[in-house]
Amino acid sequence: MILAETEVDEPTAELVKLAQRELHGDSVLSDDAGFSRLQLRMSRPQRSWARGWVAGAVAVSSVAALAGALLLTRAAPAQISFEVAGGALGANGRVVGQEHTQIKFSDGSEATLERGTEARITNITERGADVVLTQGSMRVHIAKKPQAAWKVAAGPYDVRVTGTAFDVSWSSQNQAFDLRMQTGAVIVTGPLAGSGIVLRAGQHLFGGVAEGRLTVEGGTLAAAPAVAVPEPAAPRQPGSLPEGPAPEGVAPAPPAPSPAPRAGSEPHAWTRQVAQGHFNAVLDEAEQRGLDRTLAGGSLEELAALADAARYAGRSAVAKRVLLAERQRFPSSGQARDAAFFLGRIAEDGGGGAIEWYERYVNESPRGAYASQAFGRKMMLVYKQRGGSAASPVAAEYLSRFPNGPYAAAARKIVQESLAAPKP
Amino acid sequence: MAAPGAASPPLSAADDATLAVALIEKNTAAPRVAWTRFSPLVRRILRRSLGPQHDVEDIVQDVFLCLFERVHTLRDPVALKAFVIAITVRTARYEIRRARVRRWVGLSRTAELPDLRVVNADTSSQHALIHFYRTLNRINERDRTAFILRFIEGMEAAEVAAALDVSVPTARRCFTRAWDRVTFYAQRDPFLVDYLGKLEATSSEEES
Repeated sequence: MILAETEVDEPTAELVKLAQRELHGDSVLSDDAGFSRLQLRMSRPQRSWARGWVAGAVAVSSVAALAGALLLTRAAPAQISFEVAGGALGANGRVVGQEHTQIKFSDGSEATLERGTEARITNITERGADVVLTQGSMRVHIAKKPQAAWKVAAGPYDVRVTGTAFDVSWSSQNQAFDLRMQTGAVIVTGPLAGSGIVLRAGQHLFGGVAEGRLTVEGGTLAAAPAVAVPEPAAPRQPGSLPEGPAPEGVAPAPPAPSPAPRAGSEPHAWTRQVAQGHFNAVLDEAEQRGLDRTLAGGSLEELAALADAARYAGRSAVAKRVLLAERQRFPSSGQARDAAFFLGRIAEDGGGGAIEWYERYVNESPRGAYASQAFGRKMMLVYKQRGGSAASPVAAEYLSRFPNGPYAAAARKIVQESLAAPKP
Repeated sequence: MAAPGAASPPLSAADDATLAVALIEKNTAAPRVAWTRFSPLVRRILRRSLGPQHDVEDIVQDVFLCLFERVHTLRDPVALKAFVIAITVRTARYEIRRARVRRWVGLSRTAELPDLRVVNADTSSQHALIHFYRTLNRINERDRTAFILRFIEGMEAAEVAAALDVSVPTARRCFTRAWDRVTFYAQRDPFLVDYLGKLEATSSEEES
C-alpha cells in the first residue's frame, strides 16, 4: 500500500487493506458466459456512449434508456434454449454433474453442477425456465433481464429468481436445503416459508425439513430479510435435536432457572420479531431489561432469539455472550450444541478459536444441521492456517462424510493438490 | 508490437499494442482477447470504486462496449491498458454521480444497500467495508476516485492523474485530501471505531 504522501494513519490503512482483500476482480460468471452476454449486447443497436464523455450525461442516457426500453418492448421474444457443456443431456432434460458440467442458457444464464449432482430442465419459456435440483449442489447465475422468470426447485423448496447468483444444495437423504446468495435477491417458498422469504446478497438460508427448522444467516441492519410468513418461522426451534451429553470445556451448569418476569412481552415475542426481521427491536428490549439480567434469567427460547437477532444485526460481541450463556445454562439443549457452530462463525471474524468451536460442534452433533458446514469451514481454516498437507486428511474425511456437501469441490481440490505436491 | 517478418503470435499472446491495432481494424477475435485480458482489471476497479453494494457485471460490459466503440480514437496503441483504465474510471465516476442522484431523489430505500454484494455473510469485516464506503460516499467523487486509485489500486500519482485527466499536483491534492477526510469520518463512525479497536486489540494480543 502507498502511504508516502499522507501521514500514516493505521486505522485508515486497515480499512484500505480490507477493501483490497475483499473487493477483487473475480466474477461469479465464467469467462465464456461473461463474454457471451457481452456479445449479445454488441449485437443489439448501440446506445449513445456520450454519457461518459460530455456534460449533461444524465439527460442523454435517460433518452437512450427510454429508446432501449422501447426497442425491448417491440422485440419479438424468442424461447430460451440451452446446451450442456462437460456432461450429457438425458431423457426429460435430465443432467448429471461430472467434472465441469455446466448448463448454459441462450440468455447468458448458467448453472454449474458439482459432480454427482442431478438436475432437470423443465418448462422453458422466452423469459426463463424451471430448473429442478433432484440431488446435490449447483451454482446458479441468472442473467438480469426485464421480466425474467426463473424457478429453481429443490425438494419442497422453490426459489423464484429474476437476476441473481447463488449456490443451492438439496439432500434428499437428509431432507436438507441450503441456499447461499451471491448477488441480487430471490424469494424462497417451502416448509416454514409458506408465503415466501426474500433473501438478499450475502444471506444464507438453511432449511431442515425433518427437523422443522429454517435459519437465515447474514444480511445487515439495512438489508434485513423481509420475512412474509403467516406464522412465525422460528429460526431455531427448542428441542429440535435429541438431548445429549454436556459439551466439553464448558462448566457444568446449574438447573435452568425459570424465565425472568417480563414486562409486556409474550413468551414467543422475540422469536416472532426475529422471524419478521426486527432484530434491533429485540436487542433494544434486551438492553432495556439489562443484558446481564437477560443472560442470567432469560428462557432458552429468548436466548436463542436474542442470539439470532444479535448475529443478524452484526452485533458479534453481544451474540457471543448470548451463545456462551446458552451453552452454560442449557448445556444439554439442541440450541447449546448449535451455539458451538455460531461461536465458530464469530471466532472466524476475530479472536481465534474457530477451528476448535467447529470441532466441538461436529463432535457434539455429528448429524446436526450444520455438520457439513462446520466440517467444511474447519477444513478451509486448516488449509489457510496450516497448509494443504494438514488440510488433506480433513478434506478426505469431509468427502467420505459429505460427498455432495457444499465444500465437496474445495475438498477435492485440496486432496488433488496434496497428491500432486512433491513428497519430501 | 511484433517485428516485421516474424511469424505473428496468436492474438491472445500478443502485446497490448498489437491487440489495440486488431481492435481498431475490427479483427473478430480481438474483442474476446480484450475481454479475457482486461475484464478482471475493469471489474476490480469498478468494485473498489463503487463499493460492495454494487453489482458491477453490467457496468463491466458497459466499459467494454465503450472501449470497442472508441478504440479508434486511441493515438498510441501501446497505451491500450491506460485507455481501458481511463474509460473504467469515467464510467465509475458516472455511476457514483448517478448513485448520489438516486439517493437524493429517494430512488434507493437506503443510502447504501440497494443490492448488497458481499463475499461472506454476517462477518464484522463485511459490515466494516460497508461503513467504510459510507464514509467514501461523503467525499466528492473526484477525490474519492483518486483515493481508490492511489491507495486501494496502488497506482502511481502520475497514473492517477492520467486516469482522472488532471495534473499530477492536482491528483496528489485530491487523494491526500480524501485520506484526511476518510480518517476524519472513520473516527466518528461508531461501528468503524469498534471494529478498528477490536483489530488493534487482537494485534496487541498477538504481539504480546
